[in-house]
Amino acid sequence: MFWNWFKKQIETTTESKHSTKPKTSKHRVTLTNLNEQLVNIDDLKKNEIDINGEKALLIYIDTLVQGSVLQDLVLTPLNQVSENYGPEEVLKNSSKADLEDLETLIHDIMSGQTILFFLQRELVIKIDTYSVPERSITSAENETTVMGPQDSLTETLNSSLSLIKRRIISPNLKTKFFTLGTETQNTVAVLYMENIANKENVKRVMDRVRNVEYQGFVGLPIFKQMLEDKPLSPFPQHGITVRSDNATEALLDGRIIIMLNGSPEAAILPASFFEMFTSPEDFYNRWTTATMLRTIRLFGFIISILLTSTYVSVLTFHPEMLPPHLLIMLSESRTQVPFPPVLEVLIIELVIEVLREAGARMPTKIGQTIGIVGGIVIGTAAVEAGLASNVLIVLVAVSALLSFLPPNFLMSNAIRLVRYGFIFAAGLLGMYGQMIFLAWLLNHLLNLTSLGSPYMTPVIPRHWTDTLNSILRAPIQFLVTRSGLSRSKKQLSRPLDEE
Amino acid sequence: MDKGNFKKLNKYHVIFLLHCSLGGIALFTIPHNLSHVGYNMWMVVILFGIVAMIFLKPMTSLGSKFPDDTLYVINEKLTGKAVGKLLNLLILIYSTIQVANTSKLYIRLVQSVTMPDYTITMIAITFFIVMIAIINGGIKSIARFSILSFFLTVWMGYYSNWAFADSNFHHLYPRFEHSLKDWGHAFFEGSQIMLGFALIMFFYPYIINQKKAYKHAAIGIWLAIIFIGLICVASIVYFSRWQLENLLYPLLNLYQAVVLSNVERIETLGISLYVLLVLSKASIYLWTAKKGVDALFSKHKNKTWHLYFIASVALFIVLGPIPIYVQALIYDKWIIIAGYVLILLPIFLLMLYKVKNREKRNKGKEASAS
Amino acid sequence: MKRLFSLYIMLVLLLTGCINDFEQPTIENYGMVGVMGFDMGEEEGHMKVTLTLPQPEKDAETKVQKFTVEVESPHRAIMEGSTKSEKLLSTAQLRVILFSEEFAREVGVWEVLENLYRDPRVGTNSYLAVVGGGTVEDLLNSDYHDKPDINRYLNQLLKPSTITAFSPFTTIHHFIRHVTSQVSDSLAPYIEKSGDSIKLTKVALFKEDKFISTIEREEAKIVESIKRNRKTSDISYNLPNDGENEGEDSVIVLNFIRSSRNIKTNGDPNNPEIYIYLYITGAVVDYTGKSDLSVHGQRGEVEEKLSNAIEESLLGSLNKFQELRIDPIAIGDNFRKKDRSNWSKEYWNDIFQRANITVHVEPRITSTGTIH
Repeated sequence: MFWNWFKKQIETTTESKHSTKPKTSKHRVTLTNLNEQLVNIDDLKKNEIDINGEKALLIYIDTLVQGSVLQDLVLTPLNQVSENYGPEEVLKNSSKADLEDLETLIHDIMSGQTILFFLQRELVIKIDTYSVPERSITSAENETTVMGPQDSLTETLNSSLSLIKRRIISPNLKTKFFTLGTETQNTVAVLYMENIANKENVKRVMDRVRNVEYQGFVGLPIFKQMLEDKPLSPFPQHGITVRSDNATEALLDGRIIIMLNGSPEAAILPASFFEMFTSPEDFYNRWTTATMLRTIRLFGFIISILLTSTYVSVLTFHPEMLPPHLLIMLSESRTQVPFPPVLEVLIIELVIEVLREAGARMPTKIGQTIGIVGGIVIGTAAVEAGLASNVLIVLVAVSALLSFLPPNFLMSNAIRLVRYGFIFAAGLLGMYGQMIFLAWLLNHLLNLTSLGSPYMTPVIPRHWTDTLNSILRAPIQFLVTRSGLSRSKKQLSRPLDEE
Repeated sequence: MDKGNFKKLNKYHVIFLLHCSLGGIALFTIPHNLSHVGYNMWMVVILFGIVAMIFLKPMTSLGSKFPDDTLYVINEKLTGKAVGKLLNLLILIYSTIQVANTSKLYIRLVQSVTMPDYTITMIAITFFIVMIAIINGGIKSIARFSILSFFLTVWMGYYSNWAFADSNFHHLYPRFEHSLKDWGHAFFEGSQIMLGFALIMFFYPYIINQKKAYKHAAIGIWLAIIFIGLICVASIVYFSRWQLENLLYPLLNLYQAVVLSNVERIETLGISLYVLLVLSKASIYLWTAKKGVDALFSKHKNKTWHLYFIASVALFIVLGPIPIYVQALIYDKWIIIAGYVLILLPIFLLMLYKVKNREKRNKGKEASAS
Repeated sequence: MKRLFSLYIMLVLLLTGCINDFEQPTIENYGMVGVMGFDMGEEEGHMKVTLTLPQPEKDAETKVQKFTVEVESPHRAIMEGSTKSEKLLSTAQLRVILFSEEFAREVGVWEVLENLYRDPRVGTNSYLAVVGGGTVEDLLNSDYHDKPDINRYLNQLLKPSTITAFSPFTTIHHFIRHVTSQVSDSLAPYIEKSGDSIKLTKVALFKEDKFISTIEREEAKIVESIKRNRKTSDISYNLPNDGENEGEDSVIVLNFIRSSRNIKTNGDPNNPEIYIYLYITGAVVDYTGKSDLSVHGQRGEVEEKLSNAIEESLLGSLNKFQELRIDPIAIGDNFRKKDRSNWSKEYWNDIFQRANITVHVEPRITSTGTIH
């Protein structure tokens, strides 16, 4: 059946058990072979140089190697070559290439190494000269906080790793590299604390990462989707962050971090639904403030998905629920509107979505503000023209605002989508429709897992202590245990201050 | 997730499965069902709790004799293939009708109160689709759903405040003015809220801590009894005798007592939110029925199409053209009698087990003697 | 995958399910009947029903639509009204039910209320009241100065508030509960048109479902405070022989804070005795008498006189209830605790009529305001 086919497709992309890497027969390294492979790459430089009377070809990619580096690491040392010191000795960071393996050599050239091809004898030397301009470490633009560390991960894996490693100084912090992507050859790093993280989880992550087959990853969010337990769900099942403190905190809780070279994010596995509503700033704040903010975010979520659909169901099916003054107000504002409430809500919601999308594509952040202001102008005009009721404009605006509350961007998008389900259900079956859709949604969330751990912890807690760090953020002194979600080996023993 | 034959239900799962298998839609009608004994109904509710506790004991002790088998398997093991199959068939029919009964009562209620100009077809179909989605995750999924549905509906209990504020507590005064027949009537008609606990026999093999299963199940039962009791007490103090006897859904009127400044008539919300509890209860029954089909047609092997099959049968019973008097007979009489038979069944099975064991031991002794 | 499949099915149903013969009416298509008034019909067995519904259109000339139809039952009135209005009349927002005194006395209100109680759309929190001194139709069709929406006006008037705390605030539920209870009878507010406003003047007494008499406001306040512990509105009494001059009455107005009551009975059906204790604590706002309230002894005297005045009025209304064979206070509940015989309303009314009632009222002046 169609679904089975679809399922198979997904399985093959995510968890194909049989690694089918193309087995190429190894070719010998010769100049003709090299030239054959490296045609039409205009930034490939081939300079013939003379080393102590010996002719050699210097091959490198111009755009990956900076001139000064080439000068410092290759050309200047080569001047010292004499009878006593051969080129291997004077060149630091160099190695002899395997002459039987052309593919590796080409891969090395493409990833920024400089090749010294000796024309007179069978010797090829590789020098690591990879040097590209890098973005410096800046503060996070997406998950901003007022307090706490401000450095965020960058596109360069090494500098991102350094941000974490300078925080956790321990041999227990393990780092595993994988090379993935048949064309892009991305480096993927899997980080975990060996003494804390759950072994089973680590093994599961390694297996999944190893089995991923794809031509190339441009960003971690793509890669992350391939590791998810239920790829069809609208909800993100792993945490994602650009903040180094967030990633470090997760490691210390026994989670596993995945990073991808070329992408400034880190994925946190496993993660739970409630963590999508938490921000690292909750821990920098006092616990009372943090608890209040978390409560607002969670209730914002509930209100955001139910507000406009309740408008539909009350106006269509349950007018008896309105108190007299609201009844008059609502029916007054609805008298001119030519659409039934479902259509009215859908139109206005879509207008907001469109404005938001347009605002997001505008060059600056001001664009967003303009978009929202534009929305209000359009809204006012629509009310005055009698196309929509003014009460609805308020409700839609509120629910749109509330949907931006979760710090996790993917979750915020999921909320926007789920809302439409509720609106349709309300238009069809009123409040019962909303609730039956809620039941379906809850069931869906309950059945989601993140790396085998239930997504809805701590509603279904593994440890009762999980509830201390959920909607509630208990004082730090009470958070003496690791979360049950990470199934960590040893429980933390953070002694309470006894004075 | 978490499918398959292994122990997977922890204590919270057991407590809330039991909690949800009692109660259910009957909460809406229970004060009406018990109105034969008038204002003494709260005593009947406590009686339900005690009776459930008593009959729970043989169920768990039967379960401990067969820690890995559902009642379907136990039936076949103890009574033989033919009788066992027949028993299983009867249980299957019973639980299917219970699914239909629970959902039909609720669907009718939703239709008549919140959307009188609609037919029940759409409501019923959506209800069953979500139910199937829940059962697809196995018994643990149902248990989790029960936990969540409990916490999402329990706050509605706060609204009983309004009923208590406008009440006459003299009604609670026990007055034994009713004949034994009235008490019997009330007990019989109200027992729909109690019968659900028998389902523990079907999910007992999946419980992790079977030694404490009785304790946890008892907690679940009393949790449910407390809530039913609360509703009964609220109805007693809020209504007159005539109202109790004539109102079909007293809980609705209790909700109507609530006066809030921004919203009125929250019974609409109450009924709609109640879908969570009704779904839990109906799902447990439907899951049981599905296990029954597994037992009868595929030698206890799990087959997904069984679920769709049995769900469509139940849906047909809900929507199908069944004469009203037949419905009344089935839903009000037979189903309750069948429920009692199911409760008494483990006692009979335990006796059978004892007899068989003794025979075996005697044989063993004879063998060793000779 | 199955879950997705079910979602797919849902979507298909959603798209096909929308097709319907009639468009689902929404809030602006409904005419939400806010007040239903019942008068005697001209024909035998008929009733004249007046419906009012708010007119939400901003540029409408009047804020309310009114219809009067003559029908046999309340829901027929809704049907008849719908044919007159461009809207679909609905009972979902029914908040006030009015009966003319004549209708309540002759026909009784039970049949109407039972049918409204049956309708799941009608909230049981709707208030009911008896209209005196004219027909309901007349009351509803009059214009009231600065009160353009009669639906809201009546609803606000009949809603519980401390100013009108003497009124029993009877709702459909309360009325049915009292009528069908085995001990008590119902009360209802009694409203009259006075000038260009509507006034809550008295409290109507019902026996079974029929209106029989009324009691005055001051009596009703005390009766209400005996029904249950609650806050009441201000009370004012004339204290005889307390004035500045000899033989003159003084006026005392108490701002009630709380009242609590205790009812005791002997439970003997042959020789029934009822004791009613009422404790009132309040602050003085008006006092025209000669006593100095800051002096301990004199304050006691005033309290004593006030106690007598309240006892007298309470006993008066209780005697009236006995004469009429009704028990709006539900004293029967207390009696029933001790009497185990077969109980019925008739049985209790009989006992109540013969009962020997003793009342004891203890007012306490807690404060005299900011002056002596």
